[in-house]
Amino acid sequence: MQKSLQKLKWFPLILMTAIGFVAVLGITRSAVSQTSPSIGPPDPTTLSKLHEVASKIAETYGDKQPSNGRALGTTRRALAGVVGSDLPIDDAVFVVVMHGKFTSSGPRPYGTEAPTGTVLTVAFDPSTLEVTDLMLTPSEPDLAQLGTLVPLGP
Amino acid sequence: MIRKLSAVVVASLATLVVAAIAAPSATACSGSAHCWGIAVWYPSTSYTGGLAWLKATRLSVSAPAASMITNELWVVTGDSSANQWVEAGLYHGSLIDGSGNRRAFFWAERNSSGLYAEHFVQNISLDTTYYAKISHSGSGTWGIYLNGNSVGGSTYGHNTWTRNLQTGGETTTDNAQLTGTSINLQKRSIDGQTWTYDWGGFIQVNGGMQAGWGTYAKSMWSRFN
Repeated sequence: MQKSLQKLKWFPLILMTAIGFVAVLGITRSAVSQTSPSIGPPDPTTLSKLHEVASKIAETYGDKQPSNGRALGTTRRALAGVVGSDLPIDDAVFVVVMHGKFTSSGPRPYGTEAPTGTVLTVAFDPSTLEVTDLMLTPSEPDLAQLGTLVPLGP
Repeated sequence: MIRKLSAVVVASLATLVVAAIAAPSATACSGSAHCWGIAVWYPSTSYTGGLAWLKATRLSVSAPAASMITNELWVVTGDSSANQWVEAGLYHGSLIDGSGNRRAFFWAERNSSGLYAEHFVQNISLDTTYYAKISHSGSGTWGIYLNGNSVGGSTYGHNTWTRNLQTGGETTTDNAQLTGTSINLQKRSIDGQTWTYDWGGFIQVNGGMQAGWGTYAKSMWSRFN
């Protein structure tokens, strides 16, 4: 009986420690998520630059006049998740999606055919506009779940 | 009649000569006709992963906005069509930027649904060894690792075993430079755990690419220009 009471004596301390641990964990996770936020859609100046760079990439992929170009802001991990892959990098990116008749000139194994597709989705580092990710697909990924797509322009 | 026939023959010969002069060299490397200098291994038993230590002392293309060169590891996951794969390695060229000063570690995949994707992970340096691993991680998805750390996971839509393993260099231009090595070649058994050294297979080259075994099945080199 006395032993049981002695154990109970420590219960509040253990409880407080547990609550503190959970609180710290929550703050830490919150801080991590704040370091890799998504971004909003690109401004008009950035849209213009994205249009130019994306058009060159489309040309490299065999279509000089892609159509229905649109852009949004998101993160690399979220974009990868849309098609079911995993990327442990959650940096913010601008994403451009274009329709056309594309053939990849990217790397591939010996003995395989060049991938083709009608939708080209490209992610750009927002500060340098360097390409971070690229996807060629037979239909448009569900990008609307990532944010609002805005037209690239004429 | 004979005169008409002669005229047709002469015209045809002239067309052939012009075509021969105008046609690009059959060995030229381009976006639609890639060149490889690689080791290719079709194992007789099923494996679930491949690994190579990659290094390049030269890795560049003259027109990085429109061409590329790699030194890398491929795991072909497709069956008879062979048109599914996961790849990872050292990259310089188009799609990273137009300045030509950036080299990166990348991974890419093509799955059975027709998705092709490239992901650039981090900048790399010449004359530095990078340890690339691609292994099945369950349900037709494959994990990609750089120096032991996960840098991505493929989509579903791949087989659970390798059709073939490849490593070496690839380019889409004749104006490229590569001196690369792939060493400590390993593969993972069907149990999903056991890694063993040495591949098998043959050397495949085309265009101006060169390649050869350093020590057969253990290490290989590739070179361009």
